[in-house]
Amino acid sequence: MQSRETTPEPLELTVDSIYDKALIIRPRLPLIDGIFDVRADTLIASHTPHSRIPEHLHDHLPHMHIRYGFEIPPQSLAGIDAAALEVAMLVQVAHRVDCNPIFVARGPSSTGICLKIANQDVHWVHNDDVGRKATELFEATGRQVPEGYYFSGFQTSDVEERRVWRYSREDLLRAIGRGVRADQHFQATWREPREDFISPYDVIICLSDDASSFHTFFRLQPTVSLGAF
Amino acid sequence: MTTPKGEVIEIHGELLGVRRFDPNGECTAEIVRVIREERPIGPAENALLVVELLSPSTKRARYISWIGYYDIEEAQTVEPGAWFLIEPPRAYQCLVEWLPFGWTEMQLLPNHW
Repeated sequence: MQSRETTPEPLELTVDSIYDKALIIRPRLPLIDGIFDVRADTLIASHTPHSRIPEHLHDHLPHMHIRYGFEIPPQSLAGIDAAALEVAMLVQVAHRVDCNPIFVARGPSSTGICLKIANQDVHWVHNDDVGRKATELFEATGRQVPEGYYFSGFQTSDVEERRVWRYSREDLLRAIGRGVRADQHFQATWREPREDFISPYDVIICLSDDASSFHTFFRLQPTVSLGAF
Repeated sequence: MTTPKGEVIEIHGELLGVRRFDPNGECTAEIVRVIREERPIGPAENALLVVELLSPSTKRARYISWIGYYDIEEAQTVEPGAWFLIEPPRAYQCLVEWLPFGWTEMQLLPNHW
């Protein structure tokens, strides 16, 4: 009897739908009280200059805190080899935004404990393409970016906040585990510093990544809406 | 428009970058991170300043909204050949006229949109 050697076909995972390939991230109300002297239920808050808080680069200038919570639920990350997380926020053109690390707990005084992925704190770097992407996605919903506003975009970065950092699928799976729940802080300040207080305003956030088409929009308000959220 | 007058103070920091008219030309501005808290008469610890050189012996400083080397690299793309990184940063100590929120209305530096 003649034996025939056959090479087994490698198992292959096909990703057919844009919904199969997604890094799912969901907005949540923030949970952690007191980081940067912002209450847990506060999404938008304007502060005048105050004393130094580590990681708070604009504490010496009038600034507006932009803050939300989010959840990355357990997921397979099928079809994703690596990804940088992305965020864009709709702010006034006279303002620019500094991104703080993602916080998972409150630290000493008014500081936060950072989320780590790939053994380093998650930081953010400006990225104009992410801002443009958010604008296109927003306008695809039939809405227009209001006059005097722009989407300020960011991608995850190295700790120096100079270069984009893409996390491997393994790093992401380890960090997500059975689900990640964290708070994100940003600070908007005057592009050209001035003494004027920043009147708080609604900020629309877009969360996405650079490996899939998953994205989500939500609106932060100076006062949290009553009712279902 | 009248130019505001500020206090002359000594700032202590680290020099992150400079702006020149050309690579070998005179320095016209310096980007400095403050390492010593000087409020209320001077800048806050960790603030980034632009120090403008009016003459070899006259400097004035104000706050900028920049966050570090990223912004100087951005400025290099907006004004090629004008901005230079000082990396690692150099110790910096200097007398300046301190005008925290600027000296005229319009003084935009290359800035991220």
